[in-house]
Amino acid sequence: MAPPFLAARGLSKSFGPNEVLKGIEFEVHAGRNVALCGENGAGKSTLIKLLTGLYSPTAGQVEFEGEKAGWSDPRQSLAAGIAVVHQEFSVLGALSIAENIYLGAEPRTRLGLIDRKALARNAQALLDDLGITLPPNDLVETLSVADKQMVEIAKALRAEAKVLILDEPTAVLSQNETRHLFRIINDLRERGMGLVYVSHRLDEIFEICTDITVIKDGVVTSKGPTEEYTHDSVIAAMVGRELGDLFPPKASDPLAGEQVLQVRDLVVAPGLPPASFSVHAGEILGLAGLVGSGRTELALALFGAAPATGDVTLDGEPMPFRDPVGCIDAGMLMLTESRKDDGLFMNSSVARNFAATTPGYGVHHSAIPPGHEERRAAVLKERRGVVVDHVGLPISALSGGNQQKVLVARLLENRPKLLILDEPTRGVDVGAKAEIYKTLRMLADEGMALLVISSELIEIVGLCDRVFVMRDGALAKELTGEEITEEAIITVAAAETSTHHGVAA
Amino acid sequence: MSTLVRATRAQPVHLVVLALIAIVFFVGITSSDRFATPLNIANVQDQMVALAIVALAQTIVILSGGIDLSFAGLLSFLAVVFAALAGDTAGTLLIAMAIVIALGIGIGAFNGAITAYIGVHPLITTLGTSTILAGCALLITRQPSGSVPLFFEDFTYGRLGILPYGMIAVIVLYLFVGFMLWRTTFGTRIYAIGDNEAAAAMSGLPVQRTKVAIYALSGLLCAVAAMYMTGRFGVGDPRAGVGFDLRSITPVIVGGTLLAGGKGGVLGTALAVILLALLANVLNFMNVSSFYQWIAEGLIIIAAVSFFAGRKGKS
Amino acid sequence: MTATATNTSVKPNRNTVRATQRRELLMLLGFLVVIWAVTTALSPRFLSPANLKDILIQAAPLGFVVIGQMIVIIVRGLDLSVASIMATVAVLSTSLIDVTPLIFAVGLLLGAMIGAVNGYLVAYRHVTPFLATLATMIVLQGIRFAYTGGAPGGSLPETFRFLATGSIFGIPVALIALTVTAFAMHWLLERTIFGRRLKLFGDSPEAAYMTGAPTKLLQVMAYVISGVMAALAGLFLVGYVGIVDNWTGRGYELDSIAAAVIGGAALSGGKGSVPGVLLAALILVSLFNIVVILGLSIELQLVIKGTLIILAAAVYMKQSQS
Repeated sequence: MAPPFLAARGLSKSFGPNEVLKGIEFEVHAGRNVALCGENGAGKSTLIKLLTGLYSPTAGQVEFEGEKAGWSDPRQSLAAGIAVVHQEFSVLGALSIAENIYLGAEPRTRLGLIDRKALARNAQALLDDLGITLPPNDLVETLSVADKQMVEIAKALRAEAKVLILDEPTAVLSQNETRHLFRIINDLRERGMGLVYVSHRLDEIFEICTDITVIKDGVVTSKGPTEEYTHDSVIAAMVGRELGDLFPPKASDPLAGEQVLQVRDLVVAPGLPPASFSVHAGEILGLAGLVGSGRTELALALFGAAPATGDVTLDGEPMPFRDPVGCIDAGMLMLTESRKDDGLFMNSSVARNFAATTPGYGVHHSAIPPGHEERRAAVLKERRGVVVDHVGLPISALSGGNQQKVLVARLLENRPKLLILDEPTRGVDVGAKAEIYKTLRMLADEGMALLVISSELIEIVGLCDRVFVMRDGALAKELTGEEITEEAIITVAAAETSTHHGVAA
Repeated sequence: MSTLVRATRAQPVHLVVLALIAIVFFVGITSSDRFATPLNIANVQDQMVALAIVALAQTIVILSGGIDLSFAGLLSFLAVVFAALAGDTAGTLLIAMAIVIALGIGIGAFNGAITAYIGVHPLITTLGTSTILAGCALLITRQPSGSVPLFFEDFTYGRLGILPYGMIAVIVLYLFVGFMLWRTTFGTRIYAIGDNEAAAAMSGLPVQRTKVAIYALSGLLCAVAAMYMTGRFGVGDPRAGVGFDLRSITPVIVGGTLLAGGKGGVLGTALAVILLALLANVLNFMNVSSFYQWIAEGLIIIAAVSFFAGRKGKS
Repeated sequence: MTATATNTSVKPNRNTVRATQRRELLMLLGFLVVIWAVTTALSPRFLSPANLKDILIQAAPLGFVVIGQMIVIIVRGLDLSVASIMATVAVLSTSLIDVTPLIFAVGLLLGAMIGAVNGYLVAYRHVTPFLATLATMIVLQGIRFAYTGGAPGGSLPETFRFLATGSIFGIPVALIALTVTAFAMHWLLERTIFGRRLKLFGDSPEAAYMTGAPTKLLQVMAYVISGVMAALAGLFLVGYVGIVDNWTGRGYELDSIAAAVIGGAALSGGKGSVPGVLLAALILVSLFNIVVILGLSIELQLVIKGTLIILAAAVYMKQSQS
């Protein structure tokens, strides 16, 4: 048998005293698609960084086609034929599709100038080959997220990559776009490319991956062909526990509480149908739907962070649509989807991040006494399970899960009447997820009204008392009690969605 | 046609600038008989040569997401050095030119290296070099001094029809840089880095080396401008560059290049330089004092930037 | 200082945000002590009370400006118009009135108004701070020259001159004013909700918005403070020099950016302290003074200043990377 395209042999990596990866054995053969599974913090991204030469191993080695690969820079692995499609794309908006695909390898004339005609022609051929209908001279900034990803894949194909690593590629895609991506992935695999597919979504893994490798706490706990696995066995290898005990019991009568939030004829964008609904005290209301179905936009409008028209009342008081300041004062809080972009203050201390929404909280005169933040933040270590040496450290020093815990703790500190959570467990490991679910349920039981947006159907089904499924910007259907199943949500969410531009359906 | 638009990076706003040029030109004709004379047209061109060259340099740097504030010190320093070395023969002139060009490239490369390899904000780096060089220029001579060969001085005053030689040089430089941005990998890299530096690095582009080259090119263009200015003055002025740092930015911005980088091109800068030079000339004919011209320049910047800011959306 | 009280509950850690800031301050202080010591060794005259007083008085206008500049830099801005504000305020307010308190009142109001325009352009019109303040700088220059016809005149009231050059109990009035302002600004920045939000905004404007900070108001206020500080500096400077000039304060925009950067403010926002930038201003003015004391060519001041900006920025950069 031919040596694998890419392999890790006894690969270990330590950061100081922290051993992140221990003796990893991992291989990608031609024509195989290997799923890389593991909780957040299990070491998946460290492994990818080692495989591409961004990190160098403490022990063991990376092998490329059976030979030791001593890469010290991702550029070297790229040149050898390892391409990565990151969650944050590396395509450039100001350049055309063709320029992006051939960036750094432009076809040249004999004089060394860029051959513009050949550039457009070759790019067109590549796109045709992938079954993508995009004009090569269009600027990338005009493309949808899905199309940008396609450009990224075309770029890998251009580089004649032998191995393509896809890091959570479907996180930002709609159902249709995902289907199209899968067709391309399968096509590439059949042509003999080796693929590494990193994803949290087990359905997808079972659909398109030929092999599965599970990492837990920096060690490979299980690997083999997909046929040998079931959903449960993968999860067992990842966490060593059943899914069922993740979620606390639901409310017995979710509509018993008073209506905390009442929304009447809310129009988020011109042309969209008005939305009317209410959230009761003591219930967790879910907003399900595909990415791009308008969930986040609706939440931002409620929170005053996006323009909208209509009537919204909180505890009977009319709410302005001006900005988040007014909404927070009135008793609303929101956990945003993107922790790094609009949740955290990366250069500020853990304590200051924790106190950010209410800098003066607990101060009885106008000046904030020195050390006030640190004293307040003591609760993080004592009661919120945040692991940190010192709350004065910059929050960038914390792991993703701990950062999310700080953000959730910040919400709890304020005791709002209504809490809006957009993807509350994104990038958080299963253990931390269970804790967050428990906390949210506890808040509901204490009489808070919660509105949860999530792309993880398991989360919606397991956590929410009532669910609105959104489609094309509208509240398409309300599900309650036993009606809340993954199938029911999918059926509504994916019904007749308009075909997306560029991607040939 | 669409290829031409893409190659020149033409934008709708360029039509606005063109229309403004036409309006100013029309106002000029109606306000004075002397405006449309060959002498005055040549005059306007003479006025814009130095600014056109440094604005070209600034365009390249801003396209890459940087900024170069070293022009004030750099022009003064190179002017003084050039006048001190140029002597009065072709031989000494050539040596002086070689040295000044080498210095321009070297100092530019230094700016680029500090910015690219240490990560100091280009505004701080180039502000620092500008200050140092302004000091060096004055340390060499406090008064304008030195000289250039007479034939070189004559050359900077010469013209072909209504086109001064300086203007021909400007046209050649603009075409050259425009071509470079469209047809060379270096040009593509400038846009790539200006658009998203991290993504450019992830795509395997040598971001740091490219930045050094960008600032070096800026320094080279400055050297050309310094030699031209020294030729015009006939003497090396240690304050020759004062004001050129900030003045070089106005045409770039008015021409539709984004200060954030990645968007724009030399066509916009060229049109904006023409507009600003014509405007100054016409206002002079109308006896509007330079005090009001300052007010006009400031308002033009705000108008231009507000126009683009609306396009860009939230900060 | 008082910070030690809190550390009783938690063990000290040298990587905390505050410990890093404290190290930077000590570094600046150490640098100041070293240059003072070296100069004194070369020329004992440097440490004479008269010369030290000179340094402090000269540092006062820059001190005002750099505090304002730093606050603008904290909110990811930049104020290139400070020098133009200094001159415009000095020219207009001294020519409009000749009663000292009114000169100050009108001047500060004018500074605040110009700052508000800058802030409006940046916060509401989304104009890049660099360009917004560049435009303001040029427009003010035009207005000022047009108003004075190129040559400002008029004499300054006695009391006005006293404020800038006089002393109370041997301490220069300008210095007392700067000290009071510095304490007030430090308190504002470190101990009030407003100050906290300025820094949070600089760290992440998006997160500040989502946590309920009035982001537009914060930016406008930062530029207003910068305008007021520049106005104060302009008035003290003309009082000190004794002549109102259209170019009063020329170069202060760059000097103040230099001092802010040397003092630890980062153009990427969210970082900066009053003691840091004041120490930096003192370092700059000391170095200028040293050039004079040692009888060196005055142009060396420029070379030193430029070198120091690049060096300081490089050191901070290296420090944050490690």
